[in-house]
Amino acid sequence: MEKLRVTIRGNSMWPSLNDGQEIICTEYTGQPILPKQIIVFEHPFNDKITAVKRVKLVQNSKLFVEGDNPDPTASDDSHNFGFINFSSVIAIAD
Amino acid sequence: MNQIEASAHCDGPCGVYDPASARVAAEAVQSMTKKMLTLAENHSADSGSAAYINTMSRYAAIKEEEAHKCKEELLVLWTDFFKPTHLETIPDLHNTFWQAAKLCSACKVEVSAQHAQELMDAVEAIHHMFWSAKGREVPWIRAS
Repeated sequence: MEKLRVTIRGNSMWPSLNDGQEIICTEYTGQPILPKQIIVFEHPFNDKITAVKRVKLVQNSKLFVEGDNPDPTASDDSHNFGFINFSSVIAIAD
Repeated sequence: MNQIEASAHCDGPCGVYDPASARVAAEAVQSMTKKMLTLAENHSADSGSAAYINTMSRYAAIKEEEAHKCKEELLVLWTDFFKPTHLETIPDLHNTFWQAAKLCSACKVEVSAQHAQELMDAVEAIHHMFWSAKGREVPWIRAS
């Protein structure tokens, strides 16, 4: 599986990931995705945005993702756009 | 290895915080407090005139308004910007904000040069807390 170097833009994953930080991810090719893993995925409402969030829940073959930032206004995630499909996942953080 | 960018942005224009807003309001409170004390001291013989009452009323109204604005700005910093993890490095964070908010109330109720200065001191302490949390050295500057 191919590795990806991902640069984080924004603070929704703070304090786990900071703005500008680089992380190494593994390309998603159908491997299992578990709660607490950080994933990179295509935003469900804007295909020009590649987003990064943490998986909170895997349910009915869909993923509920949320930002780590405890500020309730700081993350655009499944609280806003609902569950995402596995098909939108691009990579999983190592 | 391929490289991409991943957005961890919020859905609104959040993340723009600066204690300068609270500082400007606190300075206005202190300025109005000083003007009220000076007016009363120098023009008490004219205290029954319409001009005196009007001027004093305007000073009081602005002091009230700016003290409330200062409290709101402080509450936004306290509840939105600062996170539980900040308590590890700033253990007196909650008490500092609480005392600052109470000083805003005191400055509304009273015409106290002492409490107006204490409010400025509290806002300065919060200024240093804020910028240290962001890992930046920003000098404390007053507009007045």
